[in-house]
Amino acid sequence: MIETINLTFSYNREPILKDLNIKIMKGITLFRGPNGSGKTTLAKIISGLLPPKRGKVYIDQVDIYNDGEKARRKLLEVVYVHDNPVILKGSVYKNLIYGMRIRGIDNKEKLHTLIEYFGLHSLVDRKSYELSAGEKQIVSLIRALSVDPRYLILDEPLQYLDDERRAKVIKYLVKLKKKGITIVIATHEQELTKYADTIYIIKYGNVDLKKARGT
Amino acid sequence: MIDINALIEITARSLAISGLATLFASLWSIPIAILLSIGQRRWARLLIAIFNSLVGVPTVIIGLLLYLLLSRSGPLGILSLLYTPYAIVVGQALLITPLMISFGVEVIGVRAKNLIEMSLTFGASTTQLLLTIIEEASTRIMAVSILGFQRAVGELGVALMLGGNIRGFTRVFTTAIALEIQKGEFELAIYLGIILILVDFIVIMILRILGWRK
Repeated sequence: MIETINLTFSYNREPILKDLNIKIMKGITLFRGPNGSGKTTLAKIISGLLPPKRGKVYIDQVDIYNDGEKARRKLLEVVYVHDNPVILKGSVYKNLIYGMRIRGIDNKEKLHTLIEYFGLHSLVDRKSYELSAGEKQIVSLIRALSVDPRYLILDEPLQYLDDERRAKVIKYLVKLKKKGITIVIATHEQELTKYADTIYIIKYGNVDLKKARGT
Repeated sequence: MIDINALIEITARSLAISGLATLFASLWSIPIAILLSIGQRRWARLLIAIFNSLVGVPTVIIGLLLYLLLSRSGPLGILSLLYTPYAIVVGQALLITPLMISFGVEVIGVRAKNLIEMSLTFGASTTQLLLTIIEEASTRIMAVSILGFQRAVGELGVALMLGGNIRGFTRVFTTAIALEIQKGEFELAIYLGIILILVDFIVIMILRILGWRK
């Protein structure tokens, strides 16, 4: 479970998130809200990438910004995927194995299953700059999935995808949810709401709990 | 009649001294620029502001400070570096450090922010992070180094105060041009000036080409 306690964050003086108290359980949780409302900021904070100005973030009772080595190990269960895919120079394959290489794990069988599932096999040996925006988004998603995260934080994961790939991604996320993975999606896509267990509407500093199924 | 040997010798020495100074400055400036790009804390922003303000420090101030340090009665006098090419290398390396860090934060930081977050989300160590950024931002890093070299090769204060403009030993482009003009012998000064401008031009062209490739 991810829990925030009195979480406050500001880029300037005006807080973009103010005294936020939310709990994120297993399943799919959406952060929805208008542009600039703080969805991405909140997603990065709970991923351990952006320290809050005030308040705490706990993942399974571990304070991810203050518990030192324990926090570092806990954060290895979390993967955040950017809205604009971050793609490295070189081959597509180099991009796909980057996460595994950094973590020192060999999950190639899983990687090949993911490549097949998302229909990327013909692109693996290509240069990464040859990819379309949608293909880049799939590459960054596969890279994240290949390290088997327990917490998957996605920022606008469908924005560059065509209908066929959207359906595949959603189907895969639902499959992960059934496996007990916690998935958090920052999005303004209406399409994802029917798959969500919880939806938090973020409105410039405050959060409304819109839908809570099974919580 | 122009002394071709002197021309070649001064050109070679200038390029070697400024090249070495740029190499040394790159060794610390690039990692510092990357670390400051990574740092989201207040101290990182403060350090960036300090380096930004140091970019415009006159070369004679750096020259004076190092002169006091390296002179026989100074704390580093024992090294006997003053009036040697090594003193110019040290001086130029220090001179271009704030410029390289400031420009580095500016151009590497843009590419690095998302890259850093992506690497950190997979649990990258500081070394893994640095290596990833160096690999991914290599073109921009090259641009930072070229800019540093350009500043080093064109400066006068440090070369004059720390090198002493000794013929056949520490004489470089800028000190030679200044001397020849003082002597009223403009021919060598003009040729050296043309070569200096050519070096600058080549550097700018390399920057442009790197920009196109990017």
